[in-house]
Amino acid sequence: MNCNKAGIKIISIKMEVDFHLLVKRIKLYDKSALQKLKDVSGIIIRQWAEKDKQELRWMASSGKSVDYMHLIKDVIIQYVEMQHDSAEDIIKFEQFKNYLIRKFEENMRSFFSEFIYLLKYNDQKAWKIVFYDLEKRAAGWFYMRNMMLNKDSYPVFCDSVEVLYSNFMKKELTFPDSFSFKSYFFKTLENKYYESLKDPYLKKSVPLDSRSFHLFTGNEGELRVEHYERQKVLINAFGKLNHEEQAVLRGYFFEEKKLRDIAEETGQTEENIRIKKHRALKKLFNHFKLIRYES
Amino acid sequence: MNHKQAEERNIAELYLAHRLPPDEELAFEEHLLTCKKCRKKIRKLEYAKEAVKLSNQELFRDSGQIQAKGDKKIRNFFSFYHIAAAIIVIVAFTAIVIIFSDKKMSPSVISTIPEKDYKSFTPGYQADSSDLITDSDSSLAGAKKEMSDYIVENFTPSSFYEKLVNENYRNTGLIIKDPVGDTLPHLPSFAWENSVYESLILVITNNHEKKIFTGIIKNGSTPDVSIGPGLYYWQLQDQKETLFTGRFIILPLNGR
Repeated sequence: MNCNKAGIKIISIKMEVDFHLLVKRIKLYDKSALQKLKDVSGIIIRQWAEKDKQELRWMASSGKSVDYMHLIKDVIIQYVEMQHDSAEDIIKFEQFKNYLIRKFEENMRSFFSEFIYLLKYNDQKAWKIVFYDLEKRAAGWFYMRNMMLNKDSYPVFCDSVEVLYSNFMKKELTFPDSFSFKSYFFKTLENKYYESLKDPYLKKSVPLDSRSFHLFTGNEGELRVEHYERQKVLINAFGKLNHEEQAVLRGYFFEEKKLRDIAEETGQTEENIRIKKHRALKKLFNHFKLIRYES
Repeated sequence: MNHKQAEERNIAELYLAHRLPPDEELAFEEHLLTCKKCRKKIRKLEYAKEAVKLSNQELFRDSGQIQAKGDKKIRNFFSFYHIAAAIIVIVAFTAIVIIFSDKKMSPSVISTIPEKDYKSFTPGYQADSSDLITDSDSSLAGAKKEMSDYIVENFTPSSFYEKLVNENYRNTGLIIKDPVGDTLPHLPSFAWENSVYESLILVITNNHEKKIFTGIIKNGSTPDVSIGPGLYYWQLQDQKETLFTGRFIILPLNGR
């Protein structure tokens, strides 16, 4: 027991020293060290954003949309520059993590308000980002109600975006963060959806591009192609799994169920589900070789 | 934490599912700084998660078409089930309305409502002398008509809300502890199991889809509103969306 404790202590001291040295190396302009910290910071921020339901792509600076990885890089550099050269104080990773999230959140707020300005000025790229992200979220919203975002439900989604767009352009709507923006959208989607249930004839089956609202479907720009290609690879990879494997992964990753719960629901043993999940992931990862998954 | 430990305990997956305690989460993140394999695994798992999420967008499916059809079959089966349930409920309500408005109103045929409730509910009803009530009694005929109107007015279900309740359109997984069942003697308390929400917005609507109460309610409490006998629909909402839709019937225990 004591040996174990001592072992853990040695590992944690080694890790602290590792991080300390990494920061020192970044100070000496070591690019690979910076890249490593950027990768890990990216993971931390994505986890934080998922938990806090923040949209990482809804940011802009100096009239352009900003990649969140740039913001992470800026925060890392600020942090490294703040550190003194004294060798006595070990720089702790925990302190860095707290700094990273706090600074990122602060900057994100101001970058989000710039992003809102872009939307107000009818910036196509910004609206496309919003459209695609809402599309993804709406698919989840419909799934929770035992439905798919398909040709039947898509017009409802498009109608809701149109309402959001016209209200946003006409009215003085203010959104402090992406969460409140999405809340507004989902309220609209909910109302539109119930309208379509009450009177199915009201449901418009006209695609967006055939109306005056041609903003999102105009030019097949770079963003669209990149978005489509990436989605295709991921969806095709998932489609290659058999029904059972898909169900296990859907339960585990999307519905966030525990393996034990999936096992109970399907009348199998937990171990059996664990093996199925493992095989499904292995298959999926093989298909991912088509795209670069290293960050 | 070293790579072996992380692999053995499948820490990467637990981390992405937000299922690690804060100290282990921090230790794993620190480990990621020095472990390329774990960083790569995290990235792959992130893509796997995204793929699962995207699979819900049927619009973009190519090779996933077969699967989509499979899913749809299951869904169609369930929606058939839901529609059947909705029809049964609507038929049941209609039956109650017809029974109450029937000329030969009798407590024995109204099996769903206890006799003691029925006594206070039915104007002019006398347990010992029900045979004395005839159609020729004009005041009773008036009372019956009034009763019939009253039931139609307050108990006719809203097809829209019935659809929501029976097809679970507005149920996002919130587990409701209270109210249990539909027929209640008085306004219920509202309690749910998910501890994330300490309080929620409660909306109570009557059978004519008119909102009669909207307010924030704490888990397990009863809203401060007085409502008469009738059929009501209720919804629990957070700031973003409606989490649950249910219904209840308040029986007129003390008469109108």
